[in-house]
Amino acid sequence: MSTKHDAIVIGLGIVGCACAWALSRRGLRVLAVGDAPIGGGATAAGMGHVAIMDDSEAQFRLTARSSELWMALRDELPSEAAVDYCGTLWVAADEEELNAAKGKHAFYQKRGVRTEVLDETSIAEAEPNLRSGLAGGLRIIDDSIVYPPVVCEWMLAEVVRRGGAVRFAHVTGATRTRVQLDGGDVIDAGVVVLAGGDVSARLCAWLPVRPRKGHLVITDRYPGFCRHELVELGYLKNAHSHAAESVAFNLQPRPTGQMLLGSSRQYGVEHEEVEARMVAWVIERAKLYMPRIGSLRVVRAWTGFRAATPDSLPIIGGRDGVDEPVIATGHEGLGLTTSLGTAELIAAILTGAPTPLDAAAYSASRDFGGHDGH
Amino acid sequence: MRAERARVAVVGAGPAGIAAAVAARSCGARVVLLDDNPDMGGQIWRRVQDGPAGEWRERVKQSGAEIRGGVTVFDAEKVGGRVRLRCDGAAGASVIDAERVVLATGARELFLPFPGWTLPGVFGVGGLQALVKNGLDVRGKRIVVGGTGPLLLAVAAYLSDRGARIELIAEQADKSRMLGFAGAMIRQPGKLLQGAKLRASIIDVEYRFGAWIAEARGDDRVRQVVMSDGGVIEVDAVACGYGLVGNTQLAQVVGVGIGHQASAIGERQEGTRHLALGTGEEQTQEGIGHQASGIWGRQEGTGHLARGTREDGRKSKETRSADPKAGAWRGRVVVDDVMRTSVEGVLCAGEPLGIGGVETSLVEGTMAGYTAAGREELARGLIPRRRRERAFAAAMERTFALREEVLRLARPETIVCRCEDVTMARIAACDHWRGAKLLTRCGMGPCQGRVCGAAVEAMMGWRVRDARPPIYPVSMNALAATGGAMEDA
Ligand SMILES: Cc1cc2nc3c(=O)[nH]c(=O)nc-3n(C[C@H](O)[C@H](O)[C@H](O)COP(=O)(O)OP(=O)(O)OC[C@H]3O[C@@H](n4cnc5c(N)ncnc54)[C@H](O)[C@@H]3O)c2cc1C
Ligand SMILES: Cc1cc2nc3c(=O)[nH]c(=O)nc-3n(C[C@H](O)[C@H](O)[C@H](O)COP(=O)(O)OP(=O)(O)OC[C@H]3O[C@@H](n4cnc5c(N)ncnc54)[C@H](O)[C@@H]3O)c2cc1C
Repeated sequence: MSTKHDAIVIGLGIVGCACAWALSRRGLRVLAVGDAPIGGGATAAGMGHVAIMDDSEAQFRLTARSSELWMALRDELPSEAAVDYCGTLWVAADEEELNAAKGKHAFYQKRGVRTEVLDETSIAEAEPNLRSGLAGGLRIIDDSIVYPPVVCEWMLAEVVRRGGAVRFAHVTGATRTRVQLDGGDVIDAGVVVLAGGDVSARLCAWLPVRPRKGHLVITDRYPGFCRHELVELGYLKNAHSHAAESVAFNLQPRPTGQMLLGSSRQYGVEHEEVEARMVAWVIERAKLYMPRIGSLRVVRAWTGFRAATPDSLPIIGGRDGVDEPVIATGHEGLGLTTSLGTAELIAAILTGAPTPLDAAAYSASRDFGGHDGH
Repeated sequence: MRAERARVAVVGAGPAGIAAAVAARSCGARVVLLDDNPDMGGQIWRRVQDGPAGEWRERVKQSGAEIRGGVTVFDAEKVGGRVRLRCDGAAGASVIDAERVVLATGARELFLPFPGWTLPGVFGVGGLQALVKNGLDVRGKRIVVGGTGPLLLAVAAYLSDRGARIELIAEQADKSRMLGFAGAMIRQPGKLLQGAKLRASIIDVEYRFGAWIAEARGDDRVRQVVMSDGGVIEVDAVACGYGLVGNTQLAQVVGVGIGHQASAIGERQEGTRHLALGTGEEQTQEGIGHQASGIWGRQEGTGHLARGTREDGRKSKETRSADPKAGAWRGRVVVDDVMRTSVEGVLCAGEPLGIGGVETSLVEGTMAGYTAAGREELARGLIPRRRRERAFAAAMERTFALREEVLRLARPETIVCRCEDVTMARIAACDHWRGAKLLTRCGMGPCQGRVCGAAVEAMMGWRVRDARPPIYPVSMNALAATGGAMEDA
């Protein structure tokens, strides 16, 4: 039997694991290689919110398709994956934001996504700890949360069951069909997929991907303090502005009863330290929406790095005629959600399996608008 | 929120911190002494008024140091040449920018999980002692004291004075080792006396060597213990303790170098908060540890195997210490010979440098206080005394090194992480601490791995070194108040 692998996937975050898993489900023998623990990297740091988003048609399609795939996986995942269909509640502070919520409602309705507009009274009933006087909100009914590292482990276990393997090593060089490992080992494969997250450009220098740091804090257990994943509607404006620093209110009720609070976005910071200033900012923002949150006890704070692209869309696929890996990165703040759509698309590109997704929108050869990613 | 500057801030008001405050004050420096407990005195002197406890308490009160109880320091960071302490407590959140900080944060108990250890009625030795000091009635109660180290005797004596019936003291170390230890004590007459006194007060109790509690049994509470030789003893309570581990979390978050050699007297380390968190720094530490031959000529094999390292120096502290039994798994703050750590302005004394006991803490605290106040030469005068104390501590550590069997008591279904209900089987399926945290949530609860982290470090030989601010649970309000303030102070 040949020792050659059909595919090598670099990176054991959610995107790499999902790609390895999707390829092995389609019959490929996959070697997954990573230099951090399974589900480490941004995946360990993220909030695990599976959210359908509407910034652009391309983003909508990828998140909506991914959401369907998560739904389909729901009963297969182990209980430790802590899947919870708590829904998202976008919070509108004023009339202007409520109008935006209504606009989104119309957008989602037209595309078959279940949503509901809340007025001042109904949002207060839905989330009693929000401050009074908010204009309303938009509920995305089928959004969910999940604990990503456990999903990663589950996926890789299946890869191994299907004849694949996992190897812990740092990759120092990669082409379309070969990787070189730290220490000198060279491994050949039918194809190499790069899912290295925010540091992917180390193996593919042209990639316009840069790290965007985020801070999160988690509290002790306060069951029922909030019920939905809460997100401020200013979030889109904030998150997508390319300002050096921003924060937005984002609160998630963990199935344990803990409250997970986010988050900040920073460019140009390369160290993973928790910065007291950013934590304070995240909390001050939250207090504008939920004044009572101030008395909750924080048990931990941490940071992670999103892989940001100039147009806020991931890069999925290979460039023709260039001897470099097929790319699967640049998912910024949505990579947990979009990992399943990404994996389906990668499998479609490499094996011809069907997908409703249109590869062109996420193509590695698309025009990044002359942005310099470095 | 209160925000202030200080010349010297001392964190921890146990023997080390008290001595540091007294020494620094004697040189004229303004000193703030902080402790999370309302009462000063630390683990051994809290609520004790007579003897040295009373004398030192009086001395520090007279010294003019400003003493603040009930203040938890949850973060320390270098900001603009000073060390910023972020604190919370009954009096609200506060920030102290100090020129020099002495970390005298003491130690906590090591719990090694065994079947039944989570039953009500099973206590840590120090924990039970504290409960009794606070009024718990143990009169007539049948208690087995088990684990390792001199604390077993001290606590057994204390409990028996309070009317408890000590059924057995089970010391896991073999008698042959203890004989060597007695030899060491003869060179330290003061300590021998202390030991002898302790023995006398519990003269009727069996002190069994090479024995340990293998299992606790009961229904709603502990009823029996099964000993290592299979013997069963009926009990009302169990006091169990496998020694102490230094509290190095605050040192970790400020970026202080942590080593693994028993001789904590290493070389001065250079390092910043950031570097110290990366893999590179850890390797540097190892390197230095190997070169600087221990003052007492003893080097424990560490042979760390780096896992999951990344080229960018960000991330992973997945390292493994080869020999968990050797005691080398206990991380220790590295200081120079006058108690300076690798971070400018940060000093350390007492148990975080390696478990040493009260005399060591007093000497090191005094030295740190002198150095912090700019009188390094006074600190140098105490180097020989410190060396003697540390030699004794090292002998003690060798004597009470954990045997393989007590590290293997947990069964697959035994809970290791009580906060998150994680069993031994789930932890054993992982290959490093970070992986275990990610996949099992072990160490992710409110105690942040203070209990299970040390146990896992000992049992699995993994490196557990991931303290991040806040090192203690703290309100959102306190984080917000202390994080934003004084940015340009
Ligand atoms: C604070 C925060 C909150 C977030 N919240 C959400 C959310 O609620 N919902 C959501 O959908 N998304 C969220 N995200 C985004 C999501 O976490 C990421 O998009 C996703 O985890 C990216 O996965 P990945 O596999 O691409 O990258 P990573 O998880 O970073 O994994 C990449 C892996 O590749 C490895 N690697 C890189 N280079 C090499 C090499 N040369 N050799 C070997 N291995 C290599 C790295 O070590 C790393 O482990 C959040 C992110 C952050 C930071
Ligand atoms: C539970 C227990 C019981 C013990 N009983 C005995 C005994 O009976 N006899 C004996 O000889 N030895 C005993 N010891 C050993 C004891 O540690 C030493 O003998 C001696 O107390 C060490 O002095 P220290 O000043 O270095 O540390 P400690 O006495 O431990 O003092 C450290 C102090 O710092 C405080 N602190 C730590 N971190 C922070 C923070 N972040 N913010 C604010 N305050 C902080 C702690 O609450 C504590 O008061 C015991 C140890 C423990 C853990």
